[in-house]
Amino acid sequence: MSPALETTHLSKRYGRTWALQECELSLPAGRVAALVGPNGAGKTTFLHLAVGLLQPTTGTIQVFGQHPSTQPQEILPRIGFVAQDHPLYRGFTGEDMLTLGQKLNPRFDDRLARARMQKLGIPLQRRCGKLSGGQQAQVALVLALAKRPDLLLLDEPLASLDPLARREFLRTLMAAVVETGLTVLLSSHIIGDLERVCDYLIILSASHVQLAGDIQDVLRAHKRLIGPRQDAAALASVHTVVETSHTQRQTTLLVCTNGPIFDTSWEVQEVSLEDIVLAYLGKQVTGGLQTSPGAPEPNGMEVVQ
Amino acid sequence: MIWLAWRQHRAESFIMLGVLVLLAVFLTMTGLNMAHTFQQLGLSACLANGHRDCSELEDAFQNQVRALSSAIIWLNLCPVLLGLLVGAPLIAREVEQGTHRLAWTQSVTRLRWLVVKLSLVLLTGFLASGVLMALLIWWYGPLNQVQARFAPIAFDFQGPVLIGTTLLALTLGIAAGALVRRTVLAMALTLVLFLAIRVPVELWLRPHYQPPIVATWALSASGPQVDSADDWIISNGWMDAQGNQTTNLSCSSTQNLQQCIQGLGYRANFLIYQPADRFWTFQWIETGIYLAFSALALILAVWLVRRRLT
Amino acid sequence: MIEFHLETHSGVAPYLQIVQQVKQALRLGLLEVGDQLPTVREVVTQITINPNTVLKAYRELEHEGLVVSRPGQGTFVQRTLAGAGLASHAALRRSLVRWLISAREAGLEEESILALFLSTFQDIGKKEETA
Repeated sequence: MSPALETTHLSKRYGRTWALQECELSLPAGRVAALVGPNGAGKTTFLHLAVGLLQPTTGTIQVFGQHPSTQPQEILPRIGFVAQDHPLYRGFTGEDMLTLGQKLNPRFDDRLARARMQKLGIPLQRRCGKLSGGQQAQVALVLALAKRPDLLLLDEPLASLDPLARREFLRTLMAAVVETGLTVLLSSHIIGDLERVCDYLIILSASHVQLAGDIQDVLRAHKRLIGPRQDAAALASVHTVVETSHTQRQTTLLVCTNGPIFDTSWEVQEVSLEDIVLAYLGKQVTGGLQTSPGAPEPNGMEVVQ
Repeated sequence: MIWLAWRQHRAESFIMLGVLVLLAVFLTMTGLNMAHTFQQLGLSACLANGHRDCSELEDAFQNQVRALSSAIIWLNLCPVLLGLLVGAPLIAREVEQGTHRLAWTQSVTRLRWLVVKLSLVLLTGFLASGVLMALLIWWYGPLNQVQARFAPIAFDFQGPVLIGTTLLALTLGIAAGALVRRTVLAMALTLVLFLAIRVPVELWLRPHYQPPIVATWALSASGPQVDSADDWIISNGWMDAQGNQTTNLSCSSTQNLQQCIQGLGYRANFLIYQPADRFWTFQWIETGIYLAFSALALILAVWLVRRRLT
Repeated sequence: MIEFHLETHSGVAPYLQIVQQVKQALRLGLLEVGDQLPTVREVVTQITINPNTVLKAYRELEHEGLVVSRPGQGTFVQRTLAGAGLASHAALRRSLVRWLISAREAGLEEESILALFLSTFQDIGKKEETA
């Protein structure tokens, strides 16, 4: 099956600064993917490129095989997008927003949208500017989902929501995923919320894709190694060392393993997803790592340099 | 898309309609008043009878309607305000408030979004200014008998030039909004650009669309047959032997005028004017200039939205 | 009908938590042979969780032979885990008592005994996972 989203050498420059450089990514369809990275890492740029709001400086980005910025008529009906701060027309009522969705989208499911709004208890006659932040986010999401997209892109959807609103938002999202099997890519700079909801991870840092793969593969491949203080060159030649720290007596490594660890002087521990992400965000690299299911290596890891 | 464009500009449209109605009422009332005064003074009867000299009655009429005929200049604000309040925010507000990230990611292309909005706004501007133009042509009826409609202020209102300036202001506003992407800044830029085109065109280009007729005649002779109520007198005055021209005389009223003139060295009268039959030609030329700038502004706006905006 | 809950920061993978909760329900007799497990849709509505996670958990349970999925109908309990029989419980208890006595004689205090037991228990658990 063709990937939902695919980028090749994707780069985007603003004036002199490179927001994204040589990004390679292949997101399989049907995944709920988390795009993680610090603020200003290029997550919004990436999503805007995917939805055709921006054009790449070099390289390509393709959604279901189409280029979003040059072939908008073909691909826009299949992409749902909720931008950062979930923009709505503040003077429009909920009813107006639904009409907007219907007039501007051929596949818009008005009945479904109304049913969802009713279930969420959002009054259709109130102006969007008067709704709470959580309700606005829900309206934006309902609008994007009622379009019946095959790919849904969400830019920091949970950032301005309180915990209850966050849970409600994710519940609506998961219900849609169950019903339609759509692919989701949502960006966040907080990883905590996303573990239960996402099954694919993309780490974007320093304008590069540092890591991309199924969360289960990522968790399985990364280990923390603790051992007596030493230079880990021998280990580093076989496995990829993500993070190193030394104390006087001890060396701790966070490693992306390429096979089992045979050196018994190391104590091997599991690593939490949060720690893995933090390690990559602190890393200074120009390359990236990608896990691809079905690849020949035992853990399905592929080093992309 | 048409629904969206209408819904977004719904409030604006009603306000504009309201203002147009108010203006229509104002013009109707004052126009009828002026026509009545025109009749009352016997001026219409006088002018109908071609042989009599009506200048006294004309002066009386002009005195009576002076306030009105000079206040009408304020209507030149209409195109500007439209450009500032409707044109500038069209794209600027959308980008400033971030709603372009919603509007351009539905299933409608940016170009279609823009074309529909532009069409709606420009069509409305066209119709509104057309209505206003028709009203003003009627309103100027009596005044046109005593002053040239070819002259500066009247010219701006009594033909397609009014529609041209309206479309110019709108398109400049839209392009400015696409360029700077902030509403207030776009408004300022629109004003600057509009004046930068409008003022030079009216003051310096308009007298020369076709070469003006220059007449000179000796002080004792009689000049060309020119009607100040029809032809556009651009300038007139006195000329000396070297060809230097002046429009002012530093003569006191007590002196004998002819002696004073000759004493200052002037030998002839001169007159620069445009004949009345060129009125419509000039209207269309000037409208063409404004429409050309409008087209450029539109092309810029479309290019910016399609290629450069994020 | 069994209700699931998810501990976000427990360190246990979400799909494993589902598996464990089903097994616990089987042990306690809350689920019996022939009972239907909640549909993926129902679970997703109950706890906000990725539907693939639920599918993975159900597949794991099916792999262990505890449940069977009938296409178009749902997932049903096939085998129960209720107790391996009182006899094996008694034997296990006796060997546990012997071990505890040895630990005491070796000089271990209560907390050390507990720590040793837990770390060994967890190690075995992990080895089973990766097997």
